[in-house]
Amino acid sequence: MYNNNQSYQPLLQEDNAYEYEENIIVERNREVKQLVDDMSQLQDAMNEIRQIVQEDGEKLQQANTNAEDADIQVEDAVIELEQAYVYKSRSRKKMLILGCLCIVLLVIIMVVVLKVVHVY
Amino acid sequence: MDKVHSTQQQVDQVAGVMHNAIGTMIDNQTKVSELQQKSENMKEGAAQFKKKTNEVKRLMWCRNMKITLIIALVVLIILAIIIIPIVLKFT
Repeated sequence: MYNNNQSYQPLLQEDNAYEYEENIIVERNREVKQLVDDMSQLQDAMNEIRQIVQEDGEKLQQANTNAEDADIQVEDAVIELEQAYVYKSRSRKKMLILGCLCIVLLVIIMVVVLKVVHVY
Repeated sequence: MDKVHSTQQQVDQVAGVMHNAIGTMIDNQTKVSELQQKSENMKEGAAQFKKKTNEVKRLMWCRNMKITLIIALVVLIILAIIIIPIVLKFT
């Protein structure tokens, strides 16, 4: 196309310049694409982290509920133990009373037996 | 170019922080799992404990009731021994 030798040289230079710029643009394009890829990878990783943290939150919630349940159960158990203690102390007192009554009964029976023996 | 450099530095810093944070997060994950497991065990233990205390309470109640009944019986016998001769005397 370019028959003129004089105009060919600058055009070549211009061509080189163009090629240089194009190289830069291609390089830049590649880098931007790489950046976009990295960004999307980063987004995936962030999503994964979000999911894991959410799971952890659910587990913590569950642990909290379990602890509250255990607390309620233990409080109920304490109340029952207190009632059991009350029954136990009452039955101890009643044991003493029963012992006294048994002695009284024995004395009465002995008196009756002695009377009967005395009569006959 | 200086701005790009400082931004790169900041990015590196953030990457380091994130690296630490992710390490901590993974640690926390195992700890949370452990905690959850332990809390479940604790809940089961508490339920068992409550069951046992209920049994103990019932046992104590039964014993108390038994002793009360025996006392009533003994009192009745004593009263019978005292009252029956008196009644026989007057008839």
